[in-house]
Amino acid sequence: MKGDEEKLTDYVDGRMTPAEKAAFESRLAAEPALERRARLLRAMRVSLRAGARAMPADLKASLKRQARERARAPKARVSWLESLRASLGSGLGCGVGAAFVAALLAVAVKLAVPRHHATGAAAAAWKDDAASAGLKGLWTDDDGRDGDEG
Amino acid sequence: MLERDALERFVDDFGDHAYSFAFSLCGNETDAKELVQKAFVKIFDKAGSFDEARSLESWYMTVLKNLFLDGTRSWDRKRGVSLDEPIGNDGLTVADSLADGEQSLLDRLERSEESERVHRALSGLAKELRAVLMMIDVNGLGYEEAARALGWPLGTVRSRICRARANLRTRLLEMGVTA
Repeated sequence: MKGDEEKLTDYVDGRMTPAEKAAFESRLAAEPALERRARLLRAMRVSLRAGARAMPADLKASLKRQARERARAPKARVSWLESLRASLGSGLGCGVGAAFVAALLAVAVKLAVPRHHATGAAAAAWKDDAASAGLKGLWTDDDGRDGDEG
Repeated sequence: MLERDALERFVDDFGDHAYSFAFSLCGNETDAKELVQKAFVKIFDKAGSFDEARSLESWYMTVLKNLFLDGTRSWDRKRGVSLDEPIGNDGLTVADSLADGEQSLLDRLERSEESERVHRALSGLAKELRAVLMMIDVNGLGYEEAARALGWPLGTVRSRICRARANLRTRLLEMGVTA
């Protein structure tokens, strides 16, 4: 009977192929109990729909008012990319945009300077800072060779 | 992005379905109103990011279902509906009365006399069965939309709608025996 329940579900929900539907309808014509089940499923659905509760009028009115308010004053949620695009599109934005690009270039150039160009004094100062900041345990004199390990 | 008046129209068109679905999940008016209100406010807030390739109904149902699950413990506690109601003490089993019961139930359903009892029977089903039954049989969502809204595989929707209807029928027959 479990298989029949699934077939009934597929049948009332219109999920059978034409061939499956024709075969199942032949069975319905020959089996009154099965046909009664199919009618029962449809009747339950009709009853469920008929007894569905309407939204209380006060709630509906309140939600519609809120919806109208949102439509009138939509929240300005513009992404940074959209803001940049908009500012670049305007005359004033061109100047701001150019300054922004220049600043990006300056940062890129600064980052591109290799660390070994730092002076020996500056490197020593950084090492001292790290040690004084409680990182002594992490700072070793390991020269990277395998011979002094384990 | 939704049109300016789309949200208000959506409340008008879909409000009753939404409320009915919420009521079937919560089992009482106070919680159903709170749930529906929260779900609408959430989609109002996120309307700007709505993907129109998706159905608004299905999106709303997903939001409502998730809010329900977030608060499900308190709602279940307040619902107070027992899943183990007795079916009578006259020795008559459900199986004994199935054939006669089905015909008489069908007669009553077809005379539209059983809406209230059907909804009472529905409130006794497990929440996932109530949810899928309301989405498909009352709100008219297809299996695919229901699967998206509930976050279940399609096969799970099919097996649960099947089980939900069978359980609802059994409950109605039990109620018929004790009526």
